[in-house]
Amino acid sequence: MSPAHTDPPLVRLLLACYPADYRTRYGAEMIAVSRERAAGRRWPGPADMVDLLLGAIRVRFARRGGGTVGWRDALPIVAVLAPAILIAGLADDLHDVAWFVYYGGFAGLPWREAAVGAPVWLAWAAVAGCAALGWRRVGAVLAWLATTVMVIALNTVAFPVMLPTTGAWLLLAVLASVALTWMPSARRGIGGIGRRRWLTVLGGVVLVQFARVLGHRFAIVDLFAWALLAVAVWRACRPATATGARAVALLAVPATAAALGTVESNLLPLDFLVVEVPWPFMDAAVLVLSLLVPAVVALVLRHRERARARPDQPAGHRRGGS
Amino acid sequence: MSIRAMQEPTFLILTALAAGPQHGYGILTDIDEISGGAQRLRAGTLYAALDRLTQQGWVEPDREVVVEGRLRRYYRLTATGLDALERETTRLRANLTAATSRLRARAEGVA
Repeated sequence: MSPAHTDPPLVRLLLACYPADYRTRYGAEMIAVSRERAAGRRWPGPADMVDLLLGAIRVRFARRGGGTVGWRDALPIVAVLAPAILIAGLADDLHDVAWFVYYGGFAGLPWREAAVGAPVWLAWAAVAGCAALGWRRVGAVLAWLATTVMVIALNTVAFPVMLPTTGAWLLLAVLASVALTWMPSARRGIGGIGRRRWLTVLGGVVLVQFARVLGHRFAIVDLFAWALLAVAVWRACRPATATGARAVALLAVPATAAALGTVESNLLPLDFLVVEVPWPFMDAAVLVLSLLVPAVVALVLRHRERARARPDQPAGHRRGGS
Repeated sequence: MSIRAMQEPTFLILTALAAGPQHGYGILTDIDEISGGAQRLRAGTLYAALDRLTQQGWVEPDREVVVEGRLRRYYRLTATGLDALERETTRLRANLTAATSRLRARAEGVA
């Protein structure tokens, strides 16, 4: 039974804060109880009204927390995988070190020049270790430190050459830090993806390093290694699940930014996409297009979940239902 | 089996329903009486708790009655709800016994 139109407008407004099905189920009862509390007065007392409002907030939060899968549920997967992928950033430094060693020997190696970014990438290796072991807080602190160092370094002379993928690395670093900070603390460590899948991702990271050092003359080798790493990450996320699909969508943001950045700088004249906005690390258009990926995935997931929530509808009438 | 302590409003709602099915306002007045006026629940809190307890299977609707044009839905305790209330009562009783014996020992030590 829904609240009647004769009820005070403020009470109807307060009830409107509740979910529709809850209002239909309890609305009339709640008004009746509030009125009986008010001992015959038309309006419930102020404390009852505050309680009605707080009740609506409580009900909505309880429903958000339980049952349905949210983006936060995907963060434990992202928290384990993103730092592991960031270790792949070491590849450029390894390549430079290998180049110097090949032409000049190890003794006279200019470390400052050859391995300028190594400390940051090695810090991400430490973050990856913390995330895998479930040391969330230590991992989060290290991740934010590494991210801050990256931002500072990118704005100073430490990184003299801005690569087209630089902004994407930074996005991945921020994503890893956010995931480690806000993931549900009960589901930490590699348990969420499985030890074997995590080791496969690490194998992909090692492969990227080898490809950069040994096959740097052939772009296809580099591309192949990155493709294998992407497949390993994709499988580790288990994209068939709602949580896994969200994890893929989140990790797709830096991946798309890297791909678009590379394509824009190397292969296609995408200048028409470039918007002159003072975003220091990548073109605003690339950032916006990258952020569209999770938005599209969110729409698809919502459509799929709504289709699943209508079991009484004939299967032939359900688009995208499984 | 959950070992988390039950929140006081939940405990009082289950206690109120342990005597038999009651409607919303009846539960509130009963809780006033049980707690000696110390715990004063209101409609928003009560129905949020009833909704949660119904989903948990501890409480279920019993019957609906219309009184002076207003709906009164009665709620009753389920077997699971009764079991949960008994477990919580046992837990509270154990705490109470421990606290009582400690206080008694303390009083004897001082004296």
